[in-house]
Amino acid sequence: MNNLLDLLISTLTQGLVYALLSYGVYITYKILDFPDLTVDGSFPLGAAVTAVMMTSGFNAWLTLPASLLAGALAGLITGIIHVRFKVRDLLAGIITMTALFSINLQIAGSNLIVDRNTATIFTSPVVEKILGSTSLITRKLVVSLIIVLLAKVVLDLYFKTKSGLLLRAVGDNSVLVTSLAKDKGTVKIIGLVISNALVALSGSIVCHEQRAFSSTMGTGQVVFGLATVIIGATLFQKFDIIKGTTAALIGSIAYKAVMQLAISLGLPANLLKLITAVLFLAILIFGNYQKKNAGRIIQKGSSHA
Amino acid sequence: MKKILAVLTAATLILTAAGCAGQDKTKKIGISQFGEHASLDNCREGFLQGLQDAGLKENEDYTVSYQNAGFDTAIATQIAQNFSANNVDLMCAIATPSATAAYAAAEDKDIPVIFTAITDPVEAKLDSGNVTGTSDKLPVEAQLELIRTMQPDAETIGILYTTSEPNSVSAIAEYEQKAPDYGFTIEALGVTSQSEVTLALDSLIAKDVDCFSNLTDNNVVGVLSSVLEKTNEANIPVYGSEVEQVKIGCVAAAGIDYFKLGQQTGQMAAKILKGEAKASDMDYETISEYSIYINSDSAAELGIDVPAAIADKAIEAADA
Amino acid sequence: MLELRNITKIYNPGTITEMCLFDSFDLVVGDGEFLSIVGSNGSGKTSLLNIICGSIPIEQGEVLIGGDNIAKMQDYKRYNKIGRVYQNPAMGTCPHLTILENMSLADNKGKTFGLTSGINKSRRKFYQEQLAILGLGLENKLDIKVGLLSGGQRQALALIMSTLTPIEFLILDEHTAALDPNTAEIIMQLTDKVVKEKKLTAMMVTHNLRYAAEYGNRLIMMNSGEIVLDRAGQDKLETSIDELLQLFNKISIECGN
Repeated sequence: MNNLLDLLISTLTQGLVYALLSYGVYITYKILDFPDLTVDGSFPLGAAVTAVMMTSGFNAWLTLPASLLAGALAGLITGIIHVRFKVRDLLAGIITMTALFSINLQIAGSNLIVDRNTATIFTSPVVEKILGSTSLITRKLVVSLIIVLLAKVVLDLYFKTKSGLLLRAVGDNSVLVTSLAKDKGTVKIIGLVISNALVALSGSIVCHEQRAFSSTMGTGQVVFGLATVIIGATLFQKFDIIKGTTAALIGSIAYKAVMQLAISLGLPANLLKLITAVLFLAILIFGNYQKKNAGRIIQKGSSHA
Repeated sequence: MKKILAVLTAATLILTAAGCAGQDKTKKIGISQFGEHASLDNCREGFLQGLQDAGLKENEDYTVSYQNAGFDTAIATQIAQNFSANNVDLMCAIATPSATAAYAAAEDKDIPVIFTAITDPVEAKLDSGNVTGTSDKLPVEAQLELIRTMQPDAETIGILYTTSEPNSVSAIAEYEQKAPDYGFTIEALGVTSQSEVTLALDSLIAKDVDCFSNLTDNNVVGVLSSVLEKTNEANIPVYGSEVEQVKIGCVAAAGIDYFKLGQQTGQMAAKILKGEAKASDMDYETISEYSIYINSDSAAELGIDVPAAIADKAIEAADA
Repeated sequence: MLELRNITKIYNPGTITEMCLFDSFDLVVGDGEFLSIVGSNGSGKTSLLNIICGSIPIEQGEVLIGGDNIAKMQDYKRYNKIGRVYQNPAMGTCPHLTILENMSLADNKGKTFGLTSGINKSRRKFYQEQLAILGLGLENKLDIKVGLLSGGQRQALALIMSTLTPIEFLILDEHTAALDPNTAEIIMQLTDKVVKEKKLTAMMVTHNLRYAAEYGNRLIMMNSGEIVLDRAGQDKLETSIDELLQLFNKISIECGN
């Protein structure tokens, strides 16, 4: 049973670490209705910044705000390209993502590996002091859980502020935002900044966890993020009380759990993506079926927030 | 939430069943390979052969669980965590991303990790700790010598590589350092993705390089066939870095045999499994032997007369 | 007061489809006026609203609100002085937010949207009072998502939201056109009530000649970018629907409509 517990802990940790990315995609895709491809670049950006700082001897915890900042900058650039230069949303993301590929390599030099003796956020003295002699995987779980929940609480609180309310309004009905004498472009930029900051934070923690940055680690992360947000939303569409961030968090854990299940079942890796696609489709069909059933009982509703 | 619990419970059952299969005396080996690709496959087969060479018997002394990540780093992480959770006795990691992931997953469980197909274990920070393995560092000097013998008049060697692959970057550095000794200049051109390889190739062909030398660069090797199509048309020979590349159509290669590399790794692993040595005490090994491979068909096509000195010791890699 | 001075608007300038809609167009809407605008399609009613709100650029002219020329101002900034209700009820509210959240957004118009709480609980009562004006019972549904309301309810809410904060000018852009006749009637009465109670200056574009005749204290009819009828005060009161209809038909025939 110990094996299983370990595996559950590891899988849960993976789901948590990537949940930050899902939060980011939730903001752009669900709230802003903006398919933001910057993610494929801002995720490794966080890892690149982290790897470089760690190999240069910075304190592990400093990499988190630094990554947040770097990601925010990436989001700002996509936002400015889209809003100020009127480039279509998909293209604006592609431009930044492409540029970031080079920038990430420029920052990191090449693929980087962080030395085993360097303390990560999981092995930092503070964590060791508090969590003592617990196993590393437990520490990874606890630390990621704290960060992810903290991020969730802060986000949920933000959504309730005036600025957060305006952010939710801009994706819902941007005309209204204009009617409120607010520049909808600026609001979109704020959303992209927050989203990519979170995505880069996710990349940073993955870098801590893996002690490695690779230039290609961003490939497919947008798809992962979209999948988790949609899985989460589909699973919980009946429950209006469940917050979007919670749905994204559980979507991320569910996704990683399914991957781990596929690996544990010994399914051939070459087929993993196909299996993911099939599973994804199944969840969506199931979701539509559920919606149809629900539609008979109550009039067309909405599940958001 | 119920659904998630259901999935996790299902996972529980399956894993428990899997976990019960291994008994105390039988050692569990988890092989994590980054992706399916001829050289890496050779490594794995060699590894399994190496275990048997050392007198261990499969299913009796050890069981093997093999996973490949389909070249996805996130999957490599989950594979390694799976092995770690199942408390395998040894992880064998083939290629750098898998090795990094395996080592991270085994970090505090002290599961020995044995790697192979890593060019620079020092750069990959895999030179200390409960980890050891074999390096596939290219025999650069032998390659330069081979090219000099095959093309006495050649002056420039073109090399394509991916800027983000540390293996390639360090190989380029070595090429540039040693080329003058053999009277060559190196025209190296970096790419960041596979789609740029053809463009870079055109650019190097336009610079009139006398030949190309190929590294073990994943992006470039992935499209080697199309590279060869173009170079053949331009009548420029391409030298490979291992036997699989020569089989595809490279003229010749001074390369290591990945099967042998795997075999050597397997023998190291056997020592660990038998308790004769600890991974933490073992230095990583570099294969010193290399073989000369030749593809006579390609040579004939390009009008290169293979000098007797080479023909005598070379292994023919062309399909009969 | 709203003043349009010497407005020139050319569609597709420099192309084969170039069309001059307004050529030195002038219009003054005094404080407290409730102006109805009628006219056939293409007469320039909607373009007029879009020019005022900055949704479309103009070639020449000035748009003055309270004496300030806003012709060069970005569209969103103009809404500091303008409230607008759209034809589509979905445009004036956020469907995924609750009534309370929508009201809070509208309430904060003109102020900064910072990191303080989005909903001010002490304003709840005020919102309920405002919604009570509508007489639709929305004041008891503050926590319901707007997407669950009917088109008429949403339009009524949009009306309240657009006039919640002090504005110089209310624009009603065919705001009853997408509603069924009964609901349209209710919304029209509500509009009248709100405009009167809040003493607003308003400009209503409508295709309904009866509304134009019955409501408001001034009426203009437009054709090809020109005002062909302008009645205010007693003249307006005496204008019958039949008269309007006749004139309307005459212009339409001339235009080949």
